[in-house]
Amino acid sequence: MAKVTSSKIIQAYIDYLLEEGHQPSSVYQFAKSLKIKEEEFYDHFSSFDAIEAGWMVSLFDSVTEELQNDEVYQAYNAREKYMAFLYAWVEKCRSNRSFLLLLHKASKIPSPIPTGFSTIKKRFHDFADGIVREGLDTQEVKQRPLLSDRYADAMFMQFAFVHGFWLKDTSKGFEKTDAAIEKSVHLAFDLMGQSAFDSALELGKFLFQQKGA
Amino acid sequence: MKYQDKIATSRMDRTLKFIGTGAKIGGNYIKHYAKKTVNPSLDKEELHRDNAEDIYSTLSSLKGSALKVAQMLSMDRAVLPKAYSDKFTMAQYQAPPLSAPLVVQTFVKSLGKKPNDIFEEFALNAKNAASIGQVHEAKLNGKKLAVKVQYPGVAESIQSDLRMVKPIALRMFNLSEKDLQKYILEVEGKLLEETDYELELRRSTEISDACAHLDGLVFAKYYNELSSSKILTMDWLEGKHLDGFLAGGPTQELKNKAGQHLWDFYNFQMHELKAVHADPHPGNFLLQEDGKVGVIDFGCIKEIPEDFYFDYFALILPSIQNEPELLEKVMERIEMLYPGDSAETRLIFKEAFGKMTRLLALPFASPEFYFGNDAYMSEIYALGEEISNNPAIRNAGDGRGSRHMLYINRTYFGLYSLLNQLDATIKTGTGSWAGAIESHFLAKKS
Repeated sequence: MAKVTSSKIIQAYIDYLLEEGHQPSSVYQFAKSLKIKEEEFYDHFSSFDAIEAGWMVSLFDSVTEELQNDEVYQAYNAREKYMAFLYAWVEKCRSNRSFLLLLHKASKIPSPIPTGFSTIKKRFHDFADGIVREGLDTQEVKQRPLLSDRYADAMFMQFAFVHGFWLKDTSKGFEKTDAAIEKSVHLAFDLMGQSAFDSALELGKFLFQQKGA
Repeated sequence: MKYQDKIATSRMDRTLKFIGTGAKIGGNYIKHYAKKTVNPSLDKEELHRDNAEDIYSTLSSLKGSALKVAQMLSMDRAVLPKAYSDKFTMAQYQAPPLSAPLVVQTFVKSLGKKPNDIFEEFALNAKNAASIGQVHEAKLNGKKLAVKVQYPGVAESIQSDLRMVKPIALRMFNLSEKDLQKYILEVEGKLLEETDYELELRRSTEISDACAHLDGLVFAKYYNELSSSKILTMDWLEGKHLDGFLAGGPTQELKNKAGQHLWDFYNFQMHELKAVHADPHPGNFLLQEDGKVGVIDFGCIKEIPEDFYFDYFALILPSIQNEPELLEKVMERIEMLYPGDSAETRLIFKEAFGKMTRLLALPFASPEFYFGNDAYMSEIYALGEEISNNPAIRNAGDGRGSRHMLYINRTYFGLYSLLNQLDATIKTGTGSWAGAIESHFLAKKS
């Protein structure tokens, strides 16, 4: 018998979930339906949740890989790169919307972070750090004490927001998500760049120093 | 232009805005009369300019398409003197430009490919803004193309804008809800049509094919396979907008030539096609060095219903104006008069509309007409103002005039004002259509 691959297991799992609406009752049963031995399943994944996590990671990787191979993307500035990432992300998610909605509904604990996002947090961080570094080079993003280290965290929250918005979006062709991406990225980069915020900080610092004098 | 930092959304906000405007207009009058006691020669134009400014700033804070409705209604009802309408020509859908990634995303979504996989060259930075999108320059097979990309969510925002304009329009134009509705529906329909690029592509192809035999007009070829409901690809037309054309100091002959092309184009659309490019503002025409006229943007096409066509153009023919009974019937059908009107009201409206149509039809009454005559344009505005300020008419509270008139009148206003700016003398007169209309009514009479 041909050896089973991870992607085959993932696809079978997604199909099962979409058709049945819940996880298989046991790995044993699932393996049987795939006509593989249970231990073969464990060669690839430790649990069903691990499949979901693996799927999310591969989705993320395929988006970033695509972007890296895109000439136009390379010519973008930091702001545009991040926008392009979000557009590519929701575009990729589009063909898996049912599955993502199912995951979202299945999560018991209400959380601002969409289900499965914790598994791609590390990767997103690395990606976002790259964008922030580039932004710092081009002065699009301003270096600020303490804060600059948290930029990627803030971007992750914004990424989660966009994803959550898309999950709830009912507009034709998810046009509203496009608008949400456009507007929220502009806001994020306006905040990270030189802004009124810095002037306010400067003033605060100045006033504080006057107190001491 | 003033920076618009916030869009009034809540009902409370909107009401406050409106009251604000009312109070300001009152203030302007006081200012006017105060100044006038010092300087009696002060003309009303300045006052109107102040008022226009205030109404304009109120309406424009209501966002693009709401403004457009108000603009349409004001033009038609002539509640706004010249100063206003000048301001209103600035009315446009206002949106920040699309980011490059969103342009790419729009391509991927609607055509399945990235722009640089389709075109040999594609400028990601927009060349200029169109009414509800932006225009990019592209190249394919060595040919320069214009690619229009629509802003996302435009149709939805138009609908929500229109809900906001209603309470304001009701007060501004002193119309009953029902009468206002008939006009709003007309404008809403047209505005939503503008967001459908597939429709625009079909129509522009139809109209440019039908007008291909007309002298001096240049149409862009549209590319179906490179277009979608959000993207419209067409040939890049050369030429200058009116301002640029005039700045180049064209000869009178050239101006007349360009103007004549425009006039013939509209005549043909009105009387032969019975569908017109109903947005004759300077941005939609490109004037070329030899006086040829490039026509762009077929987003707003008004189809003229057959019955309405006969009634509308009958009004401007002297042979019909001289038949009081027939004229009254036509005016009733076109909703200038209502069957329930008292004899007195009827007389007032008959006179007012009669005066207006005779004035507007003046170019048709002679074989040649000089549109550069500013006195003629001011007379139109002055008469419009006089009518709208007539208390009997203003207090009637009902919408006079068929909804179809809205866009046809707008088209003529726009055309006249283009020709006025061109300072052109045009061979006008009535064509064979006049005879067709006359025989239509004579046949009906017998």
